[in-house]
Amino acid sequence: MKILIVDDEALVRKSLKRAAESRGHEVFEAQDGDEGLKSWGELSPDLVFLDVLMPGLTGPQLLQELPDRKGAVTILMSAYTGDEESDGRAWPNYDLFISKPFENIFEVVEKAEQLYSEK
Amino acid sequence: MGAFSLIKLKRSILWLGPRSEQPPKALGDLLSKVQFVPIDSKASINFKKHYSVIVISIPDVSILTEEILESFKSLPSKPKKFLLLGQSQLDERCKSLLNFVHFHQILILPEDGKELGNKLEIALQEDERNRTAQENRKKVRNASQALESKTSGLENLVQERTAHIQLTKREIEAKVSRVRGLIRFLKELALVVSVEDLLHLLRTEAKIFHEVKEPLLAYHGQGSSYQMLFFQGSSVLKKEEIEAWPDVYQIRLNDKRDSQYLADLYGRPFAQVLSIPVNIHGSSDNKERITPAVLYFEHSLSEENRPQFIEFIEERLQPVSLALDRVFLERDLTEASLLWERTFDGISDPVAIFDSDAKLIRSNRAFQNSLQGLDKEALFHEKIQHNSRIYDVQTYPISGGQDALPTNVVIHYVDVTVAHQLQKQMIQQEKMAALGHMAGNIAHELNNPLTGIRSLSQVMLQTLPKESVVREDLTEVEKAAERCQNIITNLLEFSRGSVDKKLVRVSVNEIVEKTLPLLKTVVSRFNTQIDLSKENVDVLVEPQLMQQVVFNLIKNAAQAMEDGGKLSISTGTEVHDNEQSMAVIQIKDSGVGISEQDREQIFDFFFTTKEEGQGTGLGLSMSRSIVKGFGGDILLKTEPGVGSEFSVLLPRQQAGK
Repeated sequence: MKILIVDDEALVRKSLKRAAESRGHEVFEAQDGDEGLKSWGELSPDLVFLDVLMPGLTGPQLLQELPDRKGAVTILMSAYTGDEESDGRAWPNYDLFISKPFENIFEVVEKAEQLYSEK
Repeated sequence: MGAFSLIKLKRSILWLGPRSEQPPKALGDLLSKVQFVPIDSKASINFKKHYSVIVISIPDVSILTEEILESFKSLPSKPKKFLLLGQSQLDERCKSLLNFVHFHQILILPEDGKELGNKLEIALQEDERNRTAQENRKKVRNASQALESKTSGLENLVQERTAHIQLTKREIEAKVSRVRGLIRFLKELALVVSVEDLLHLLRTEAKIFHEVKEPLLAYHGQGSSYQMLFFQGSSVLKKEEIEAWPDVYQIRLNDKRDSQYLADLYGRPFAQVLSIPVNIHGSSDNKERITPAVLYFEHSLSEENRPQFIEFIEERLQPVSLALDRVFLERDLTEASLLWERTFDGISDPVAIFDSDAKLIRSNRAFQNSLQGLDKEALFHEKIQHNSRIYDVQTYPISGGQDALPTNVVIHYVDVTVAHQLQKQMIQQEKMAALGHMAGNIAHELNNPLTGIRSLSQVMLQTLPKESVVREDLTEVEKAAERCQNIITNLLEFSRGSVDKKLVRVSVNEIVEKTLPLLKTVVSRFNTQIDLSKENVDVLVEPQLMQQVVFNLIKNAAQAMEDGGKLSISTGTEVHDNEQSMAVIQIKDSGVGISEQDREQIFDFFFTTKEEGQGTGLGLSMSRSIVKGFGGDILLKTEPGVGSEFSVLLPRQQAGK
């Protein structure tokens, strides 16, 4: 499937990309919200990993711009701060929330595959 | 003199003789004094008339009749009598005449008239002298009599006076003894301190009147109630809330109203009653204008003894009323003072009054209980910490007058312990909130790269060939990243506390395990032994708060030790007196220990033995209050120079519950 990763942390993008590609998925990266919105419109991905706090548009703000998400399965990710309000879980319009750091990157990819297949 | 001349005039010569023989002319001037009375006439002679000299002339004896002789018998004896005889030869009649008339001289006629005159003159003068002498004697006698009577009058007077003086003396003695009695009474009255005393004194005083019984005293008590004091045996009892007595304006005896009043009060007849109003000046607030106090004496005084007793009472009435006045005033003062004292003692904060030399004059109970033993100088600081209490010291000078310098100061030690506790708790909460906020930011910043590090490590491990030497290194990197992740999570939980204060069931081991990573650098300096319970020991707490407690205790233990000391942390269970199984977290150090006098205070707010910057003294007190909030406690075993052991006890949650 076609996966878009929107995250300002290069290491996160890189590790997710490697893990997803190792399982045969096509992966695209965007390093902030604005670029993410653009890529999302152009690529129409099957699944999006979307970080919450980023320069430019935040994850939730990006989702507001794309109410239909162009049909993509959306996984919201945020570094754990202990505060649900600021980590973005309180926002609507996503399919899964995963807090960072991940325990195991491959499990995250598996969950994404599972979510896509259930759709 | 007048009297003499009068006598001279009156005194005369009586000449008795035959009508034919008139007194001879030769008598001269004397003739004027001669009264001639013929003896042969029938004319009676008034012998009562006073004569100085009587001359009886008998020229011829024949004229002497029996009748004439008889008349001579009534001649007065006093005047000198001369007998003129015509012949020298005395016949019988003459002799009988001489027998009963005593003659001064008997002269034989014819007698020379001149010589006779001389003799008569002499006789007259003699008579005159006699008379004068007689008069004088009489006067002397009279004077003597007057003197005598005067003397006896004086004697009477002296006797009278003596009697009077004796009477006066007795009166004075009686008066003196009465005054003495009064003075003694006044002295004793001055010692009277209560109404009861007064009544005792009155009873003793009235004992000399056997017909008078013990006194009763009705008076205004506190407020508007009436009271009656009376004797039962030798003790004074009080009837309270009695009816008002009949008004008495002056001492009255056996008035029916009084007898009736007392009879109603005591349920027995009172036959004779003396009622004495006692006026008290201090009772001006008496709105009902009833006599403020009445003294009653039941008595059986006889009519004659009554005035004596009434006088006795009247003499003592004014001092008694003054004494009663004083007693009431003192009672009011005492009560006012008591009220003041109770108020003073009722103030929960310590209050003390000092004089200008900083000498303690008065203090309330709170002061005596809390600050009495404190160093004097400390009492004047702005803030005092003593026996785990904190006081703000507020000083109010008491001035004697408008311009006078303050003589005393009232110091109010406002107990601000609770306020301080709340304030410090608030500060602690704010501190933790700030720490939480910061930890949140840091966590977010660190978690992102950590995610990358760990995930990339996982991806690389996946793709690396099994025999690659880098595998092991990557595994270390991945694990280190995981540890960092855990530390951040713990830090977040530790600093945040739970917002909704929910109690969570958690094992004591977990509490310790989550806390230790935060203290790694601290713990690494010591020989640390961690001995966690093998069985699962759960407690119901707010885990974050419990972590803070354990964090504090470990940090304290570390601060008590030099590097290389022995630190033991263990968990387990303990069965308590009430057979409740308690979970225990024990932190033991080999540090300096805690001195005996500090042991009492280490759980107090702000108590600290640490150097400045090392601690606030908040830790242990906060820790204990947190643990107590979960139904537990923190216990201490310590020995100076050996070390301390803090045991956190918490009610154990039984498995399955």
